[in-house]
Amino acid sequence: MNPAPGGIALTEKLLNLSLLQKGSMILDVGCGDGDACRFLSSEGYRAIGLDIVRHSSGKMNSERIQGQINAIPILEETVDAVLMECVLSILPTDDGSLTEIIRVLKPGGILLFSDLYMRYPDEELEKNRIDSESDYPKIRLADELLNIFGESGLSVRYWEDQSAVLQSLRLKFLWEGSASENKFPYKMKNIGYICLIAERVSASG
Amino acid sequence: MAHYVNEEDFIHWRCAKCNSELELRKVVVSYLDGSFPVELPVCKVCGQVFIPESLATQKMLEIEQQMEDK
Repeated sequence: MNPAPGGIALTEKLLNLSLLQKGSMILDVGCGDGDACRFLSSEGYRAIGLDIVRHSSGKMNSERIQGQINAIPILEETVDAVLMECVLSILPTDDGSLTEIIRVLKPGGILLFSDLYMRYPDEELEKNRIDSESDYPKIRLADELLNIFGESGLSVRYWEDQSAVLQSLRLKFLWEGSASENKFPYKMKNIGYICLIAERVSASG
Repeated sequence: MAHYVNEEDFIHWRCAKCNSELELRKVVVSYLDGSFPVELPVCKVCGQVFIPESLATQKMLEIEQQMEDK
């Protein structure tokens, strides 16, 4: 199953919002075992998965490559869209990943994005996310995310709160006992989930 | 799907309304904004969900407290 909050249902929502044509090439950065890639292929898109870890489980009917998001082994202006689900928050701050994503996107290409976000300013979260040595997710305010994308050359077309999918995943973990709440040193109530669609507006540098 | 209720927890219970036996069925549990499918005892006739006391006072209580950051 797609481990990102919202699973394939949220991937499908992003895909529908993107208005991408069938046959479009979509790069899934941080693809994991390729579940979203399989879904995209089944929907008639050309899917490429990129992950730092080589996963061996599951059959792939789409291409999968191993590599880092800040050094994507793909030529510039190659893909119609990039799918990035619950990945930015676990990347080091300013590691060049967004620049790389814009480089491989065609002009007018689309970013399909979902991730954790901070629902309102929170000193506890703030303290954690600015600690560059921290392994905890870098959780940003929605406005900060929009600014980061804007400054990178991505125009946000649409965004919405999807915190219910995060709460559902949390409820699932708590029922199954498959996640320790102690992994997060801060309260969860301020952490939400956001999905958005952005378009590449600038030429890659 | 998660299931946390054993048959012995509900085999002696019947639905007060229908006097029907219970069976394990998929039920969607919701709390705050989250929802998650689990298997719980349900009346075979009317579908009323039965939550054993042990589940309510232990696991569900713990989950509620964690969901509320208490």
